[in-house]
Amino acid sequence: MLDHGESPVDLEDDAEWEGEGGLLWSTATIGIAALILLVTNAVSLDDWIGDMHPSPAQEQAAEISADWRDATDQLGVAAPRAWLHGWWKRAEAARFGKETAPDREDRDATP
Amino acid sequence: MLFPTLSFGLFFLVVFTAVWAVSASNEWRKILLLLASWVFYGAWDWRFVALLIGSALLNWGAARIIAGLDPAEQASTRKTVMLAGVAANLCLLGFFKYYGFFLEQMGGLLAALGFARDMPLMEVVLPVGISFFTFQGMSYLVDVWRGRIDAARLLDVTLLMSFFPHLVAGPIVRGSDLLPQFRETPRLTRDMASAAFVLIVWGLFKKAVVASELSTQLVDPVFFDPAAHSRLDLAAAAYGYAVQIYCDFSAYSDMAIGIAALLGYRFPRNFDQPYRAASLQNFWRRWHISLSTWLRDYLYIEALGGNRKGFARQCANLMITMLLGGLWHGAKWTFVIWGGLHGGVLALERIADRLLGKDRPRLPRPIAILLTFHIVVIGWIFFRAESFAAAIAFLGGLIAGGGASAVLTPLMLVLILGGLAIHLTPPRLLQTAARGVRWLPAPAMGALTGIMILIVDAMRFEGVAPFIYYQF
Repeated sequence: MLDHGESPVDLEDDAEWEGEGGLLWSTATIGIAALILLVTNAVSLDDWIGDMHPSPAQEQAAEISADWRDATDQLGVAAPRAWLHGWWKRAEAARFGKETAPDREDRDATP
Repeated sequence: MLFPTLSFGLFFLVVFTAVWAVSASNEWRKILLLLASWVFYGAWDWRFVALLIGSALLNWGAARIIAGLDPAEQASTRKTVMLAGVAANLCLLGFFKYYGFFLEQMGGLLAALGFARDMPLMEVVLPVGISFFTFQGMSYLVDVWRGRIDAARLLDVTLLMSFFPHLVAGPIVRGSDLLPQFRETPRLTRDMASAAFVLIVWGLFKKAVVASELSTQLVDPVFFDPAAHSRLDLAAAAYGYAVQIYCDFSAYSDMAIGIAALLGYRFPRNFDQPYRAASLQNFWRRWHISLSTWLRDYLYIEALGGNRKGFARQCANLMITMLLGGLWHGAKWTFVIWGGLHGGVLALERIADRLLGKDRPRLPRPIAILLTFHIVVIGWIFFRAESFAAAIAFLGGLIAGGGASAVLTPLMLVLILGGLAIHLTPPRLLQTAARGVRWLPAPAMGALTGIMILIVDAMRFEGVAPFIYYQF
């Protein structure tokens, strides 16, 4: 208990629970999550590098990230994200009744 | 460097690895955290890192002087040093935050009196998070003066004020909560880690999906030009902003608490389903708890006397506290009106209790919740509006505007209802979820975390808007 109220990271005690090894568990969790995102979400990495200040290093990194993006596209591992993004864009464009959505330039909107 | 960005993600990976790698030495750990915090803050503007260090030096030095004086024989000197330290903090805050506002008002007043003058123009850039770290500094000084905590070492005080998870938008973590944790090398348990992952992912969703979408697609266009929108749009934007500001600010707090937890430190809760409140007094026990308790302890009770000087004075103190609380958010009359509205209703609640008794018949709880929520929503209109006139135009449009909607879409409606529905869930749902996932083996937890972040990223609006509370 903190001096000023509880913390949301304080879970109730559980007699059967031994919460040891938290650092190793957290490190592995972060590493695996990062790996999954690297494989399934190459588009974000590519966009992030593309937004960086132009320089020889940035150009080289952009080339590698574009190749990586193409590779994940070809393997099909980027498909779940692309499908979900397309679904979300359609939800954004939906209107009540017969209204039509205003034109928007959004190359990602196509499913 | 915003939390929901890849830049911050990579920064955090480096900090997490480095900090736990040197944990054999708590001193090196804290030095690394301090350096990381300055890098984090310097990403906005390197010049203000010096301001942060100067502010920490000021509070460390004043506290050392106070601690070195005898409480019995040198009480008045101790108090003078404390007041001087608080005044120096207020001067710092006042210069960066209120200088332009003060000159503008002064110019207007002189012009109204027939003494129009060219006021000295100076563009003062507002350092991010200055309201948060100066409040932390002041509470540290008062706590040392009161004897609630011991004066801490320079490294600990500097880290208390600079620690990057809470640096730019809170929670306002007090010395009594964090300094004892700095004295020992922290340990990361699976409880803390599982709660941290749940909080971070939940915060990402609230900010990147709900708050950003509502802001860009509904709230900003309507508040930009209320006269061009129908009554339905205005109502949707008002409710939308109530959801947006909750999801934006509570998301920052959730992520800050989660990030600090992964580094081994515990921050207090900052939000507790505020729109469940059945009175405004209860609302302030659930909304921005670290600020409301700060204002209660240091301004309402410590400086103004709370309820110790009679009932009329208590009501006046409430009003003063909330007016200054409004002004804390920024140098605009709309914030003062927002604070005045809250202060006025809080005082009315006290008056009703006194006149009719604590056991008086009360509104049925659902009606009291709805009433409180709508008072809060009216307050948010002033809080969000660019000016007093714009807020009045917005409120006028709610009464007299046409009926057809131009911007309310099915998705906006779902997000508004979903944002409000968060308040109908069991109060400690995230902790229950954390207890559920702490049993998972690391590969399963890593996969789950990665998939959840992937889903949020696929749904997020392009780009990341700064958090609303960065401007404060």
